[in-house]
Amino acid sequence: MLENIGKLIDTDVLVIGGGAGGLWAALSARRHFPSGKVTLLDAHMIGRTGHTAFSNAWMVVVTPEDDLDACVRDIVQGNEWIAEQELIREVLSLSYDQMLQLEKMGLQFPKEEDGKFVRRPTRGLRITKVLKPIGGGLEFCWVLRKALEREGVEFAERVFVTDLLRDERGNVAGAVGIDGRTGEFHILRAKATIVATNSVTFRAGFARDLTGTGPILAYQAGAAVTNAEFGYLRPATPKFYFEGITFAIQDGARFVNSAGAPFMEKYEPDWSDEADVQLISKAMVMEKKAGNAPLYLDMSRIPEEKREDYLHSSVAWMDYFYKKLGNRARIDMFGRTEYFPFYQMTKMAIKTDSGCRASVPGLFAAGLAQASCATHFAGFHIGACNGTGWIAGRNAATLAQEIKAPSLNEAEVELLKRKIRGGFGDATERSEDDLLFELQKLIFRHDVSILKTEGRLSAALGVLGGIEEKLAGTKASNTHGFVRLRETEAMVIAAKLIFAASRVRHESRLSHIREDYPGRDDRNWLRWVLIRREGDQPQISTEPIATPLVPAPNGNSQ
Amino acid sequence: MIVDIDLDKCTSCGLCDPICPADVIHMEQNGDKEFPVIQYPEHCVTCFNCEIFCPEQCIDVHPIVRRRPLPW
Ligand SMILES: Cc1cc2nc3c(=O)[nH]c(=O)nc-3n(C[C@H](O)[C@H](O)[C@H](O)COP(=O)(O)OP(=O)(O)OC[C@H]3O[C@@H](n4cnc5c(N)ncnc54)[C@H](O)[C@@H]3O)c2cc1C
Ligand code: SF4
Ligand code: SF4
Repeated sequence: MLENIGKLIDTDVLVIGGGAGGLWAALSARRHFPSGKVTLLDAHMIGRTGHTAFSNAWMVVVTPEDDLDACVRDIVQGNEWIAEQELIREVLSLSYDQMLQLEKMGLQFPKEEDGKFVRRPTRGLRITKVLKPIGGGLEFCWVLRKALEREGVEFAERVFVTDLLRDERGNVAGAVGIDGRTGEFHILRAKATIVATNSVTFRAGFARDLTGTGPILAYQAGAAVTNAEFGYLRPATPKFYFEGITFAIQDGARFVNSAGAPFMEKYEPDWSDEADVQLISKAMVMEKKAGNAPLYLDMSRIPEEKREDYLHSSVAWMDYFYKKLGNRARIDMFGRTEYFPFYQMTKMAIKTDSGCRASVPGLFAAGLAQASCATHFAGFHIGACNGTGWIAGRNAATLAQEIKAPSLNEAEVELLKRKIRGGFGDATERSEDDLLFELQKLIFRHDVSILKTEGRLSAALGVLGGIEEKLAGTKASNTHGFVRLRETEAMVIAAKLIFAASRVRHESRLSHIREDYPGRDDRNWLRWVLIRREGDQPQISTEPIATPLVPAPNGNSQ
Repeated sequence: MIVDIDLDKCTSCGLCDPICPADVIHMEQNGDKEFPVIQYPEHCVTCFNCEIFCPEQCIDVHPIVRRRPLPW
């Protein structure tokens, strides 16, 4: 009896992860299957966690007065064709209605005097516009949480998922995990499972210390993941958190080198300092290679009368933060601050069809755990989460109405429980944090994760092998440590897939920069690099990217 | 990083424990009541949730974060 193995929760649709992707997925599943049971699970408190809660929640919205097809082109071109075109079109076509739904739930969006929504362009996109709600991500998540409560979605909070479950036919049939405090084993049996955990970070600071293990859970369960060779790169300073580079540059700030000379125009003549953060990061690496580091963001040219604006935010945590930065830490952000190009997180995500269905039946993906494209600009992270959440929820609800409750093999569930127990033990020589630090020292190196060569990638895989070995002997002495250990394990697997996929793509595109293959190669590389698990090893294959809506450049249509 | 919880002002409402996205704060029995304890300060992500949502304004978060390796 499963009930004797752990706490059993039966549900029609299980959504793992309560950020933008998961909140919308749960709402959509509920609306598309009103008599069914929908369960939204998160390792923490739904509405107050995930990257979404701490974001500004700028989001791409295509209004009826915009040209939808032109926006699809904008995003596909901005992604240099690494994009699931039909999915992106549907995401954009849903965006306006979803924003109106949020407004009805009580989320406020600033409006002009004539009643139109305040919108602005975003870096790296030419015509697509973004807007943000008052209160940012915390408000966004909270109104959605309240809506889910009203509509009868069940919550499973503080449950950390350790594995996806497979039924006797090999389909995904829910998940197992543990209570993040008591350690109680949970079995969640579901007809359809949506992974919306975000992707893996290597604890890049502030909210990006929070990481999502979903793409690795899916990979372990046999599903294909993709886009591991792409990352989210961004200029950052270790001194403080600053979201306002875009505004700062509009107000006169610019990147300068050790001699105080601006350098962006040299690398990005079209955009200069207004280029997308990926391109700025790339230019910073080049400028360092040219011997001109350290590099700085010079905010001293921002006029005095505008500076006050930078010390306030409608996003509560940023408001507290900026105020305390001056008062408590005595940091003046209006000087020259040293900046680095930083690898914030991987773009590795679950490969799906345009209906957010993964390659293993029963499994769906939403949010940044789903691979709609390889770069999301400022605003298409949340934009993509909203839409993929809705689509995954709808299609998971349809499946859940068509099939019978899955039958689980008790011995396998028991095995997964034992695997968890195996992670606990007396404190070991190295803690998971020591190994995390070793991993960070590897992955944050710009000449490993940003500027890549075959030689450095294979050397990195060697170093990683050593970390993997040490990790295998590391035990956690309590639940907190166990969750961190499992997250570190997911990061190590992610790093392995990142290096492996990076070796395969013999060209440079977006954030994937190969020093030994410096050009973009549209003839050979309009392809997804797919990774599946075979035994314990990643198997890599490639597949052409379909271009049904935006023809490939140079006539390389698939 | 979280630096202090003023237990003199704390009413033991318990909110700061589940609202922390990094499992840093644990409510623990202390006499006949539960009080918050900063269990894993080194894992604080400086999100300010605890400070923002504590109804008694007991919690103080400092804006500077712990060290991590530099990118080059
Ligand atoms: C400070 C900041 C500002 C940003 N600003 C913007 C912006 O203005 N516009 C924009 O478009 N993007 C922005 N982004 C990016 C954007 O917030 C994220 O890409 C997006 O919110 C991801 O949403 P998600 O639903 O995929 O994941 P998340 O919101 O991260 O949610 C994932 C959830 O899954 C849970 N989870 C993960 N693994 C497990 C597991 N194994 N078991 C149980 N639960 C699990 C986590 O606890 C988490 O709550 C910002 C990000 C940050 C950090
Ligand atoms: S939220 Fe504030 S009042 Fe409530 S337990 Fe925590 S410190 Fe005490
Ligand atoms: S600042 Fe955030 S992470 Fe740190 S203790 Fe408070 S709630 Fe937890």
